[in-house]
Amino acid sequence: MDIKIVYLSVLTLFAVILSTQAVQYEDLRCKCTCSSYHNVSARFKQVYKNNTLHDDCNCLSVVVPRLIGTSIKEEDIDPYCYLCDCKYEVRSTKTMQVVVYIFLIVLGLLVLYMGFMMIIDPIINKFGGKEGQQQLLQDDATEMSSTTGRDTDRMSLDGRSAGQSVFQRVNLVQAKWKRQVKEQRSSVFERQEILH
Amino acid sequence: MSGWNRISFNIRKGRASSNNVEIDMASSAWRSETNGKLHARRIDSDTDDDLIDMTSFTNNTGVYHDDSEDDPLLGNHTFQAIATERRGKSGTAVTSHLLEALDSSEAGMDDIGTYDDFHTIDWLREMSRNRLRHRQILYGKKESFFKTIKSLHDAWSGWLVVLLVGLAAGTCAGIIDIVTKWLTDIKLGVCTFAFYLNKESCCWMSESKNSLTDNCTQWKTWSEIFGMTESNTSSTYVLNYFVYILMAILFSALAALLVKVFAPYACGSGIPEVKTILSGFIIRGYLGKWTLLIKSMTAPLAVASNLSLGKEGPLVHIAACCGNVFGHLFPKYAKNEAKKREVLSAAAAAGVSVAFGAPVGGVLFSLEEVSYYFPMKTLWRSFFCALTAAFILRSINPFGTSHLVMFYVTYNRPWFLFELIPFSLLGVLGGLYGAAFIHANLAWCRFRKTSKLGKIPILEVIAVTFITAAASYPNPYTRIDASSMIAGLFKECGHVIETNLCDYKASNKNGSAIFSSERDLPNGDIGAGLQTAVWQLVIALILKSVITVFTFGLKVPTGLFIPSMAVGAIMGRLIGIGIKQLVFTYPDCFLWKNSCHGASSCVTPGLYAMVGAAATLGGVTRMTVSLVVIMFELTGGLQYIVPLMAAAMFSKWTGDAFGHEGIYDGHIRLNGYPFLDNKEEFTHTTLATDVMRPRRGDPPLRVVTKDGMTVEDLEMLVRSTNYNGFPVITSHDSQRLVGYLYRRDLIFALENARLHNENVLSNSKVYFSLHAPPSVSSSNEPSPVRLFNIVDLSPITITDHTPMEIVVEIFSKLGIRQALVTHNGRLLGIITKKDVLRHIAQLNQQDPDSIMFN
Repeated sequence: MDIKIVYLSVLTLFAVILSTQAVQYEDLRCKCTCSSYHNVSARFKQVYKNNTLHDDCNCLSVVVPRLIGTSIKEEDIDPYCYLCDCKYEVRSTKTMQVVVYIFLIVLGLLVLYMGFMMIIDPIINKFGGKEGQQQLLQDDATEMSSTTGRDTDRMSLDGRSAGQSVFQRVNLVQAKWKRQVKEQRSSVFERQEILH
Repeated sequence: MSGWNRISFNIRKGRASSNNVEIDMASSAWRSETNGKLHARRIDSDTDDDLIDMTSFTNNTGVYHDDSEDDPLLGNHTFQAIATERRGKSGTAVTSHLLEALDSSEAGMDDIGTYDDFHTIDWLREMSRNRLRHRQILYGKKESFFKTIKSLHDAWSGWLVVLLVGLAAGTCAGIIDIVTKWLTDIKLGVCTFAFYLNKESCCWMSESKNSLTDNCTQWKTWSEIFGMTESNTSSTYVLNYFVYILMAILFSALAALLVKVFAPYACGSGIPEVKTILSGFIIRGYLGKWTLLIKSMTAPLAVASNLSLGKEGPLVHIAACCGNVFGHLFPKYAKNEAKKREVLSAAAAAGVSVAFGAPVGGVLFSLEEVSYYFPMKTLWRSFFCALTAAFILRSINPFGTSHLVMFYVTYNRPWFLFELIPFSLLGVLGGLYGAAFIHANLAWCRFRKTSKLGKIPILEVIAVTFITAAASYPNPYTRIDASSMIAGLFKECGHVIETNLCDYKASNKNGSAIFSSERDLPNGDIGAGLQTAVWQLVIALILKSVITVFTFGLKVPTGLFIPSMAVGAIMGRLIGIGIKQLVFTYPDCFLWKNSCHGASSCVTPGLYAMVGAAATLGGVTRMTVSLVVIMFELTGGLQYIVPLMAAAMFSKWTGDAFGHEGIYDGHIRLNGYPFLDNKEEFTHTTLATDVMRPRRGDPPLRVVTKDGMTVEDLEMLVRSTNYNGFPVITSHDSQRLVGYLYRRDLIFALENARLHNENVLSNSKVYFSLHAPPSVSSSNEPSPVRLFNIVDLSPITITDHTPMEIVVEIFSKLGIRQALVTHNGRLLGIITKKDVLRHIAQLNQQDPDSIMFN
């Protein structure tokens, strides 16, 4: 079952990559860096850019047409072009957009969740007082039973839909994860046993 | 090392009967507990923690249920039968009392495995388990079409998993690259029409004429955003400076918080730990999903905060996380720690492959630096994995340059023989820097570990960020991120003067003819721009080399490759500029008179920068072959291999003169990971009898006799000790060795016997031999138990006079966990991996108790 999900996600991944690779016209460029024509010893550089195809990315088709009309001499064209470096580059703004958006969304979610865990959780526990603690104990108890009796749990997995709500199950997983992170934190930050 | 296969092939011949399979597989269902109880146990555990620590299990048989659909071996029948029976009897005291002697604790889908947290795996045992599993599939293949499909799936799952890992690692790297570039630029300004574009992309089509800088109107610095129109005043400078520092602190604080709250294991470089894990250590959760997510999210933040760190080391960890996560999908790898490590080796190769755009270098890195067990099969899979990852990264094209790394360069200048002298000099300097850095960083980390500094990790991150950012901004070379700086330093000077670094005064022979072909390249005296650049570089060198010592080990993802390379690149470029001047000033020196004709320059400072980067990286990590290949893949020029090799070699020689271990080994030792280095030589003359337990004066070894012990005796033994296994001997008189019994198997077998046969009582005799009296059918008499199946009949044995040199070789080459010591065929004692590690630490004048784990 898991394997199917993997195959599916791989296909989607390829689709996403291929679709974002559909390069728009403005995502091509030919960048020519040349010395300044009129003042070659000065530390000036000219950058010419043109969205052209790969074959046409050279000084003659990118730079020279721009210089026609200025005071360039015919015999200077070749030596001038000799001093130009032309590079053909492709990018994908779509990929950048998607990636940055995904990053920001995930970061935002994480920060929200972090805020929730650091601010709201202690408040709930504080106001919940004993009740909250009992809840916690109960959580532990249910978890204990669910781990030691995991076989029962698992056996009735197919038939069960009303037994335990999704929310409770999420809570359970979350509680377990929290305990693991707490353990990691104490081993890294407090006892400083690993990763130092 | 392929010797393992041959040896372990025979190791469990005696266990191939179908009955055994059932027990073996079923016992794998005994779940080792998670780390929850481990530390508590270690702290209040009694004095005899010397041997092997207690392993405990809880009966989670059902957890495997849904996995077993994919695994031909874990037949559902066995499991459900056991599960049902256990549930049926769970109320009775008989069933639970032995288990209660152990810690029963949480265990879940994530903790699949048969070892405890912070324990060492037995490679031989895992390999033989895998062989058994494989044999089962081969036997089942002919039974039905479905089974044939399953065996096919099993056969190609090795390639499938590395394909998936490669895809995932490439994607992660692409995302991280794009985000890092964007976040780095956002400190300086923002793109007005599309905020998600970095500066380069924002100014994609803007041209510049007659100016040094790109006049790109779409990209606005922060002062412009805030409405300060006039540029280059001190107030705009201050505002930009302020925003820069603020953003840097924001990024690093966010990274440190995320790491602390969600995944503490995501901090640091990760390579020492990955190395330890690959050598057979278990750190649960270190390669988990949360670590993957948080490390991928925080690595760009940490790099963008301008701390002196890189994302290349973390990428190796991220790729290893991908390997672990995808490995879990395939039962072949999920349930066998040794097989899992093959995938992790391949993943590490993919990590370096995408970090440096060097697939071959990645494979060699995995082989030379991180992997412990690297058979040919893994080599090919690593190769494929690295290739896939590089391909994916190339299709994402994160930098818009069709190259996989920012500092890809191509040179087309030759180098000359005399230059080997400065290259070797660079190697020596790199080695010196590496040795100094390792000592300083380890001392600082030790200080952090023992002082109160370790208690305030987030404040520490913020403080270091503040200092770094405040010192970096005024200098144009440190203001930009280190990758861009390295890219600038690697570049050779072309026809067009693009940066200060190429500002030489042109010697124009015939001044009027501007565009004549006789015009020389500028190669003369240092211009004003270059002078500025030189002192800026000197300051940057000092800053980088000092601050990196304090940065590596912060509680954010911190890679070491980029800062080391940055230091080396600055050093190399400076020396390159110096040599160039030397050649220019004394053109008639015999060393270069023939190579460099007259004034035409033959020195490429960019190449020196690259050689310097290789030298410092080699000095810090002590890599040689993989380093040279990585650097060579960065340049794509075969002709620079010799300079790089010379630098790497000199760097290693110099570094080794001041301390044998690289930074990763240093951190492994600092943390006390049980890493038995198979590259180190053991040169002392001690014997096995000096190391084995029990020592003189210790209580005698706890053993199991072949016959004559009762169920109660064994239960007492299990409950009163916390050893992981017991030797089996013929009798207490003769002390002759029969085999080795794993605690886990023993517990399960006893439980199982009690469950299946009502007549098994506390005073039932237990036979670990082939010939046992038949079980009686009358219900009053206790029925004997035959547990021959679970005895490992071929434990590795050595004699008491075996030199420790050989013992260490056996432990490191075979990856075993314990060896039994005999004398004239009589059992004398036992040596565990921990004993060996402690012994080595003691002989090296280190604290043997620093080996903390089991």
